[in-house]
Amino acid sequence: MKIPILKLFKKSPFKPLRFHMEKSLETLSFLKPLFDYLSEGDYEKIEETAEKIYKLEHECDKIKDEIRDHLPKTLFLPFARTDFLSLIHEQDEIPDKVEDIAVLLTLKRIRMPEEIKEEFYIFLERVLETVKQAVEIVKEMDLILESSFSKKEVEKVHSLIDLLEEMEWKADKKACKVTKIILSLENKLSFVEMLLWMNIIKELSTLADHAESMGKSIRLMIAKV
Amino acid sequence: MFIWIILSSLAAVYMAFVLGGNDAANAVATSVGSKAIDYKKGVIIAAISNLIGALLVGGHVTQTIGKDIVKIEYFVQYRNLFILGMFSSLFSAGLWVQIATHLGMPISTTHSIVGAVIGFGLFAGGIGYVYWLKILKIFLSWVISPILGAIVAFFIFNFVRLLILDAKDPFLNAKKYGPILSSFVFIIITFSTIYKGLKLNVPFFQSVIISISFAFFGYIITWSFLKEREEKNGVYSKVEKLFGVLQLLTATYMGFAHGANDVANAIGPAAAIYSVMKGAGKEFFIPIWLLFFGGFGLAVGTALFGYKVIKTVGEEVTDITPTRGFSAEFAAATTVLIFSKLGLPISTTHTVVGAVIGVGIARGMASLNLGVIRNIILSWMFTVPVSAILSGIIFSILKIFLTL
Repeated sequence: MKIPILKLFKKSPFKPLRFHMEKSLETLSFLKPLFDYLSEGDYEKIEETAEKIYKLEHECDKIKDEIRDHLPKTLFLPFARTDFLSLIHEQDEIPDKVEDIAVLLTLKRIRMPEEIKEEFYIFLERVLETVKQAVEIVKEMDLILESSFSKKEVEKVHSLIDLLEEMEWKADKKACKVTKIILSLENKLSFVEMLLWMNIIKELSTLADHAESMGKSIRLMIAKV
Repeated sequence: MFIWIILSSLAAVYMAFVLGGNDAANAVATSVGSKAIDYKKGVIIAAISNLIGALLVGGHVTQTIGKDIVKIEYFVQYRNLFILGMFSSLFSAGLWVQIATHLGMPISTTHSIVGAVIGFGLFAGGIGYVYWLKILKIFLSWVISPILGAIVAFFIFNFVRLLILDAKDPFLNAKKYGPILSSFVFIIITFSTIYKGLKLNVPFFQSVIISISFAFFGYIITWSFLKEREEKNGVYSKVEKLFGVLQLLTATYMGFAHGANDVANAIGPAAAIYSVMKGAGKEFFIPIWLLFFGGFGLAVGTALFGYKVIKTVGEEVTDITPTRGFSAEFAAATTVLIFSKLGLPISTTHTVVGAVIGVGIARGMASLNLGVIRNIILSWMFTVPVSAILSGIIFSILKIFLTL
């Protein structure tokens, strides 16, 4: 049945965004076990987990494409379409980066040096926290929309974003520390191991960077029109 | 000759059927879409309020369609031609609506009937037989009505946001301001019914007094409905549930306004035929039974054919909430009612679309497809000439038979 008024209402793109977010979080949840297996030296488990991550990342990509396909230029949103598009883009970097890290861990059988273990796990935790904070902010967007950008909800999200930026900064600081330790192990680690570890740290801090960028997109989305 | 009156009335009732089946759904779309009321209630409310609106305020636009587009007085000596022309108009408008609905085009019955009557006037007499100034006014009202709907909705929704959603305790404020919003509905309905009505005509001052007392009555009723209500879960969803109650009122309001404006599309030509039969020159008669038939046709059409459309709308429109639906419906109904009082036939659907976009501009909607605006403009450009030519051709053919 063709009913004219039905054409006016489009489903909110926020629901598929939430769906994409949940899949991304699922991918993210494999990150810590990955490093646990590494310190245990269980390389088979690493391979196995990496396979799961690849599959999930692909699913995330498909959802992302679908969201983009359903955002025609004639769509009227309560925020700029471009800001929303960059939010999806940044959110999609979560599974992307997790995948990149999984790839790095499967390239060569490296070890987790005892010297970095403690600091590295703190760093990892900080990165994960930052990403989870970003995700919490996306969840808060539901209330923003429900309240139609009411002042108090907007202020709440603003303070959450401030906190996110602080978390990212802390993660960065830790990244610096772990890098220093790695570099101090120049006589103990092979060049290849060094290279891979440097890349792993870099990817992890980009993960936190992208989480921060999610906050930036949302800041623009909730800005006054 | 009374056969003409009977025939035209039957045609009018049929047209009202089609209208009720197609258009009534758009009127209550935001109420069933927000799940404030289920589709069964939507059908009942739409049917009854359409009938009442048609009966009480339907006369103004009926008069416009019947008398203000084509110059009746030129046809006093050629009554048969006039009757034939109005028949052709009704027939061609109905035909075009059926074709367009089949093709899935978002056309408006109002535009079809106005185009058809213009077409008959032009084919029957020529350029001098129609009131161009009035036609210009009608065309302008088609542009203004969705825009006005959007503006009113923008302000109503901002009012709701500022005083309720933005408040410390939105639920408490919803209980406080809900009855005020509802009293506005009462004031407007009452005033439009009694002031300068075609059947009822109460002087201005008395109309104001009566409207205010009705508004007070509405305030008390809504207040008593809302005051005891307790809702659970979520600051904003509590408010939405409360507005779901208020949407019963706006759905009625919208149905009332729809009946007041759109009944004319069905009975306008029939009323014109009746008036000519009664020997009218300048005078125009709208028998109350004809208004009733029109309203009845709308109601039955809604109940019999509209339920499916209303059900579909209720299932497929998901991203509108009661506060948004309330604002859009309130704005659209007010706009349609104002234009009905001014005797201007406008499209209810387009006004609803305008009102929903108004809520969107106030950042109230998660996503809207503005592609429909292009569809609306296309439907204006198509419908008027097509139905005009259609009615002209049908008229010319019928005329040959008449003169045989």
